[in-house]
Amino acid sequence: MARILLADDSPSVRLLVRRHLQADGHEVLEAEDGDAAYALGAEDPDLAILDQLMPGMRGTDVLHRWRTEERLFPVLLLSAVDDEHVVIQSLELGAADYIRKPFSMPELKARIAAHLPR
Amino acid sequence: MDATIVSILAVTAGLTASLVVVLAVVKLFHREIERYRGVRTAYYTSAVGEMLSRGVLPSRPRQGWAEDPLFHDAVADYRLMVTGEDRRFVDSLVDKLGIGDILVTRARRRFPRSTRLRAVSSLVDLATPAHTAALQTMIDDPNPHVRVHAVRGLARVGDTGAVSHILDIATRVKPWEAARTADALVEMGADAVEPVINWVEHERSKAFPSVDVVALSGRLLGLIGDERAEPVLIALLGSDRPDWRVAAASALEHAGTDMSVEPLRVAIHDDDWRVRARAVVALGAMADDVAIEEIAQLLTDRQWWVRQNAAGALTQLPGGTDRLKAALEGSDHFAADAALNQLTISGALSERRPLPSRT
Amino acid sequence: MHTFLAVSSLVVLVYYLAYQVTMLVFTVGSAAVLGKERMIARYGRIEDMLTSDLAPPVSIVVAAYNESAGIVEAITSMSMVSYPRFEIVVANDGSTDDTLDRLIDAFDMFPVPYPVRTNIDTAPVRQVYKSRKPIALTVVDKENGGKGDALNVAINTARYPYVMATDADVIIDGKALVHAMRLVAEDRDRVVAVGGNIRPLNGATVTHGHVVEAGVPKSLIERYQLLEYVRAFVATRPFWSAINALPLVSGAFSLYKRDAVVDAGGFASGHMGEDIDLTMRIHRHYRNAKIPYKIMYSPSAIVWTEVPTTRAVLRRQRIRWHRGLMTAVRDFRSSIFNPRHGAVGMLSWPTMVFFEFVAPVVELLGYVLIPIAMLVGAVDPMQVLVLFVIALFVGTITSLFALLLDERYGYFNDPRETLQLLTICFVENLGLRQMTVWWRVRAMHRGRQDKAWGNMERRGVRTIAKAG
Repeated sequence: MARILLADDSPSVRLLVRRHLQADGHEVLEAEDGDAAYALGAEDPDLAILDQLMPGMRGTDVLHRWRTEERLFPVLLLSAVDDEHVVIQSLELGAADYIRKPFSMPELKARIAAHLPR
Repeated sequence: MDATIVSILAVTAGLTASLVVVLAVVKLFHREIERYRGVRTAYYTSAVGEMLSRGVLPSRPRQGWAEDPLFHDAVADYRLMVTGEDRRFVDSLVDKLGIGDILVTRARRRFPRSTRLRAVSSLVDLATPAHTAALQTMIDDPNPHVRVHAVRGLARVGDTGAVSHILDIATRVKPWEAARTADALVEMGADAVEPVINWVEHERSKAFPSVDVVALSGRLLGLIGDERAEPVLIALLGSDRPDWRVAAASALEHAGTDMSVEPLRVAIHDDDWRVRARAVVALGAMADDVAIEEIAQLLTDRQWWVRQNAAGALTQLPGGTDRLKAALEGSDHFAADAALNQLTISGALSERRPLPSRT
Repeated sequence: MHTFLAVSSLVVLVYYLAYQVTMLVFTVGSAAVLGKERMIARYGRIEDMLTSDLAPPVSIVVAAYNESAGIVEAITSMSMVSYPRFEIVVANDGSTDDTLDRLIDAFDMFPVPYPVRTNIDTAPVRQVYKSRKPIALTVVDKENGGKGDALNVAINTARYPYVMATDADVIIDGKALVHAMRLVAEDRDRVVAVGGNIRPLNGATVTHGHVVEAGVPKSLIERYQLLEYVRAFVATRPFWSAINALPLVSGAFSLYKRDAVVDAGGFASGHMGEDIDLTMRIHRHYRNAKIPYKIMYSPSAIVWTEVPTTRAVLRRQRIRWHRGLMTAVRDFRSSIFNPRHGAVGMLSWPTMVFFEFVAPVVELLGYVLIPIAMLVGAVDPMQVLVLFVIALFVGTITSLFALLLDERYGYFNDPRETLQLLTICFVENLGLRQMTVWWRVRAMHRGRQDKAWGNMERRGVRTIAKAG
C-alpha cells in the first residue's frame, strides 16, 4: 500500500503505530530522533508522522527543513504538547494535521487514510 | 608509639579498603542492574504492545509481571498514549493482573516513604474507579507528595465526591501543595465545576474564608473553562480581596462570555496592577475591536506587566496589530517597548518567508 | 628550636587531620539529605509544575566576552531548556571578536530602542537587540566592564522576577531549571537563590547540545578535577544547603530572586569571585535586615562545564579563584564566627576561611617544616608518618564516600571507569593536590596584575566533548 515514515522517540508509540499500519498493509520506516527522521525524508515516503518533542531536531524543525527543500509529502505532527503556538506553527509550516497525545488509534488511522495520496 | 593512634590508623585503613570494595561492587551491580532493567523494559514494551495491537489479553499472565514496577511503567506508557477502546483494553489488563491492588498495598503507611511515593505515582497513571476508596485514604497521607499524587489519581478517576474534602485539606497545607492540588483537580474537567463552585460559595460565606484556596479554586475553574463558573467568578472579581480579583480576572480569560465584558472593563482600571494585568488579557480574549482604544490606554500603565499584557491582548484583536504599530512610532517609550515586544512574539514583525505548499 | 619544630609540626598535622575530618562530616551530612531529594526528583512528578502557576517566569542571564566560538550553540541549547516561560538575555561585554555579529546573524537580531532600567549601576549600554525569530532572546551590547558588570546589565534588562545567571560555555541539562525552581515554588517567600550541580563536561558524549553520556576524562588533571567537583557538589553542598549555610552559589548555574540581587547591589565588577561575593552579600543583607530567607542547592539541577585540560589553564583558573576568595575573606571577615550570621557565620564561612583560604599556606608549611623536624630529630618520624597517613586515609574515605553518593546519577559504571576513579582517589595525593596548593600560595603573594576575566581558553562546547 503506502510507505509511511514514523518518527517518535518513544518505543511504545512506534511499536503500536507500526503494528497497526503494518496490519493495514503499509510499509513503515522508523526513526527515533529528529535527525534520523530528516534523513529518511530522502526516501520520499507517501506520508510522515512526526513527534514534536524528540531528541535533536523537533518535529517542526524537521518539517521546516523538508519544506524548504520542497519535499512536499503530507506530514502529521504528533505531540503531547498542548501548546497552541506549536499547533499554529506546524500548520503554518504546512503540516497536514496535528494530533495530540493521547490519541485514539482508529482516529489516527482515519486521519492517515485521509491524507494519503489516492 | 601510642596504641590509640595505631588503632585509628588501622580503622581508617580498614574503612578505606572496605569502601574501595563497596564502591567497586556497587558500580558493577549498578551497571548490571541498569542493563537488566533496559532489557526488561524493552521486553515489557513489546509484550504489552503486541497484546494491545492484537487486542488479546494473555490467558495465563506471568505472575512476576504484576509485581514489577518496570512493567507498571510500560503499561502506563501505553495507557497515557491511547484513548477509547485501546485505553479500555489497557484497563482490563491492569485489572486482570491485579496491578492496582498491588500498588494500593504498597502505598499503605507501613511502607517507607519512597515505596509509597513510587507506588502512588504509578497508581495515578493506572487507576480505575475501582481504586477510588484507596486513593481517598491516601489524601490523608503524612507525605505531601503522596497526597498530591492521590489527588491527581482521584481527578483521573473522576471522583467528584472527594472535591470538597480535597479543597478542605488544601486550606491546611503549604501554599505550593495547595496550588499543585488545585492544578491536579483540573484533570477532572467539567465534572469538577459544580462541586468546586459549591465549595467556593460555602467557603465565602464563612467569617474567615481561606483566601488562598478560594483564589486557587477560581483559577481552577478558569483552567477548566466552563461557563457555569462565570457568575461566581464575576462575584469574585467584584470582591474587596485583591487575590480573589486577580484569580477571577485570569480565570475569566477562559471561562468568560459576553456577560463578563462589562465587569472586566471596570477591572482594567483596578488599583491592583495584577488585576489590571490579568483583566486586560481576559478582555482581549473576548472583546471585539470596540475595546481597542480602552486596552491601548493601558500601554502607558506604570507596570511593565500591564503594558505587556495590554500589547499582547491587542495582538489578539482584529486591528490591534495596527494600533500597536502606531504605538511603535509614538512618543511614549514604554508603550513602544511593549508594542515591540509583543509584535515580535506574535511574529507580526518577522519577515514572512512563504514556504512552498502542496498544490 | 626543637620544641618549636615539634609543636609546629604537630599543629600542621592536627590541622590537616581536622580539615579531612570536617570534610568527612560534611559528606556524611550530605548523605543524610540526598535521599529525600532524590526520591522527590524521581517520583514527585515535578515536571507537572510546567503547566502550573507555581512556575514563575525566569530570565536566563549570560555575560559574553569573546565567546564567538560557542555562543550560538550555547544560546540554542539554552533555548531548549524545559520551562514554561523564560527569556534569555545576553550581555555582550564589549567583546573584541565577532560575538555580537554571530548572534545577530544566527538569531536575526535587530536594534531596538529598549529602555534598560538602572536598578544596578553599570558601564554604559550601547544598543539593545531583539530577535525576529520565535525565541525570547535579548542581546545587550555594552562597554567592557568585566563579568560582574555584564551580568548586572543583563539583570537590569531582565524582565522576570527570577534570574538565572550562567556562562556562555556550559550545557544546561534540560530539566535543570525545573528542578531548581521546584525549591523556589515550594517556599517562595523565603528561597532567594538556588545553585546548580556543576559537572565537568570533559569525557562526556554530546549530541545536539545534550549530554548523552557522562564519561571519565582522559588525563589525570581532568580526573582530579572531576573528583573535586563531586566532593564539592555531591558531598558538601547538600549538607550546607540543608542548614542554610551555602557560602557560594556557583556562577555557572545560579538562580536568584531578581529583587534579592538588586537589594544586595548586584554582582561586583572586577571581582574574581563575583559569585562568592554576591552569595555572601545576600546572606549579610537578609541577616542584617532580619528577614527570613534561604539559599539552596539543587543536586538535580545539572550543568556541564568544560574544565581546564592543561596545567597552564588550570593554574590560571585556580589563581583567579583563590584571588576571588582572598577578596571575599577580606570583605566578609566580620562574618567569621558571627552568630548573627547563623550557620554561615558559625560553620561554612569559617570553613571556607580556615580550610580553603588558609589551608595552602599551612599545607606548604608542613611540607617544609616536617621534613626538617624529622631530620633534626625533633619529632618521631614514625609518629608523624602515621598521623599523615591517617589524614590521607580520612581524605580518601571522603572521596570514596562522595563517589558512592554520586552513584545516584548512574554515571561511570564501566569497570574501566570504576578503576580510573578508584585510582584517582589515591593518586591525587601524589602531586596533583600539592600542585594546586602551590598555585594558591602563589596567588596569595603575587600582585594583582591579571585582568579580571583571566582568560580561560574557550573553544566552544562542541569541540571539547567529542560528538558521539
